[in-house]
Amino acid sequence: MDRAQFNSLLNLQALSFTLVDLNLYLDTHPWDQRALAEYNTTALQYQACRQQYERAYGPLVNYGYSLSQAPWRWAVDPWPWEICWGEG
Amino acid sequence: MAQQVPIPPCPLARACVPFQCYVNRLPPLDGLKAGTIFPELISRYGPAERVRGDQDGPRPIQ
Repeated sequence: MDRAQFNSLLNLQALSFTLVDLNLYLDTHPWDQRALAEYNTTALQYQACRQQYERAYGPLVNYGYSLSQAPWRWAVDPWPWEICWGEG
Repeated sequence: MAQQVPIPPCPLARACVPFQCYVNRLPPLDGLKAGTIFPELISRYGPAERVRGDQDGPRPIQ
């Protein structure tokens, strides 16, 4: 996994974590318009980054949640959790 | 068989959790490092302390 892929994955993890925290906040504050707007904005940003990542590096998840080019990239790419510092 | 112990006549403990108010949040990468995107929820203990203690530490999104 090269540095660019690592940074893309880290960015996705950070966006995903922001969504989890906003999700938890909205569970107890469902009428907070600002938090809701930021959740939706971050969700769109996450989806765009995820599409960009998968186009470049292959599927992030399997079982039909991501498309694959040939060959079946889930089997040939490094899996998302195979993060190695210092490569590339 | 467990023996029932009578509750002594004293006031019960009461948990109080302040209601969270959304003031600002950390940028995604800083939130990931700190373990929360809400600055007021950063733990006083553990690795998050380093993030909060940084002079150039996370700057909340206003």
